Amino acid sequence: MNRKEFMNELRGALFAVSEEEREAALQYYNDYLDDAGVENEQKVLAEWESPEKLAESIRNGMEGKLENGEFTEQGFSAGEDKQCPAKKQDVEWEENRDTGKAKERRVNGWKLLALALLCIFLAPVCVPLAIALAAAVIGLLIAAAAVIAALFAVGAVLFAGGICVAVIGIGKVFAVPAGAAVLFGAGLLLAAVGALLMLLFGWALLKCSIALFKAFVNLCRGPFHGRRKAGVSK
Amino acid sequence: MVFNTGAALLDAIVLAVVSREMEGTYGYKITQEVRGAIEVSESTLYPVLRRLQKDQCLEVYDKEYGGRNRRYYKITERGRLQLNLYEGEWSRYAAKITGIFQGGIGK
Repeated sequence: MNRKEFMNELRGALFAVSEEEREAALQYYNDYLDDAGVENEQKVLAEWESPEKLAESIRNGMEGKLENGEFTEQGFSAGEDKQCPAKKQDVEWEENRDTGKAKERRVNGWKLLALALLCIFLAPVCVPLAIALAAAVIGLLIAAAAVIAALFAVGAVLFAGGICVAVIGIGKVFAVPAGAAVLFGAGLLLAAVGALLMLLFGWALLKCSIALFKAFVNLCRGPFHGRRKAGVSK
Repeated sequence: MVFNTGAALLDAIVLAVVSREMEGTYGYKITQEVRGAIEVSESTLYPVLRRLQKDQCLEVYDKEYGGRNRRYYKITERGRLQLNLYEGEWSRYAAKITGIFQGGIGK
């Protein structure tokens, strides 16, 4: 094989690698042949054996496999005997590596399929269960809100009642001054307690309504958020 | 060549070779010098150089030579520290092996 053919085939063999890495590698090996000189060209190409072998050593380096193997006269031999060649690996250097290992991003077809099958088989149990659970939670929330609303209503009644009693008291001031004073005072007291209850539970009611609304929205969005981590890269 | 070379030792050798040149040196020359000490194939060094570069032990720059751009590798501060570490480790390691060969205790 001559140099040009070799380098073209090497470029092809590096298709899975990022463009930046590919160009860097090709430049290195082109420079190498230039520096070796024309007289040494065939000798170097012979030592490189084949574009595929060269590409493999480049990929080994990027996958961090160098640590497990050793360097011999014939080149690098990785630690394991069987590097699964049938599995296509989409390999990339990580841009900032402190640990010194390249990260792999594999296409997780099998994992996704297994997950899908699991979902289908468990659905008859899980779906009704989920619905029941959701209904229970919603029920509880509504009950809580109802209790708070009731307390609010109590407060309102006390307030209104209190005002009425106070007014009645004012009415009787000329007929029974002492009794009127008592009625007036008691009425105001009741109204105050009522107002307090109204404020307290009115605020609580508002917060509950908001929480209920948010929970409902999240429930609808939940299934879509969960799926993002399935391991498929776009 | 009887003994094969592990990745760490090869890193150390490459760093040592590059560190000898103040201005750095280029791939072909590095390979020839490394082959002065151990027998490695001509294709071996690129992944090692690339990795050392990614680990910031080496930096690269391009310089014009004979009408083309030649890529030079130069050792960094971090690379020097790493090399010192390796040299210390090697001394200890070599001493232990020698000790075992000569019948002394392997400590």
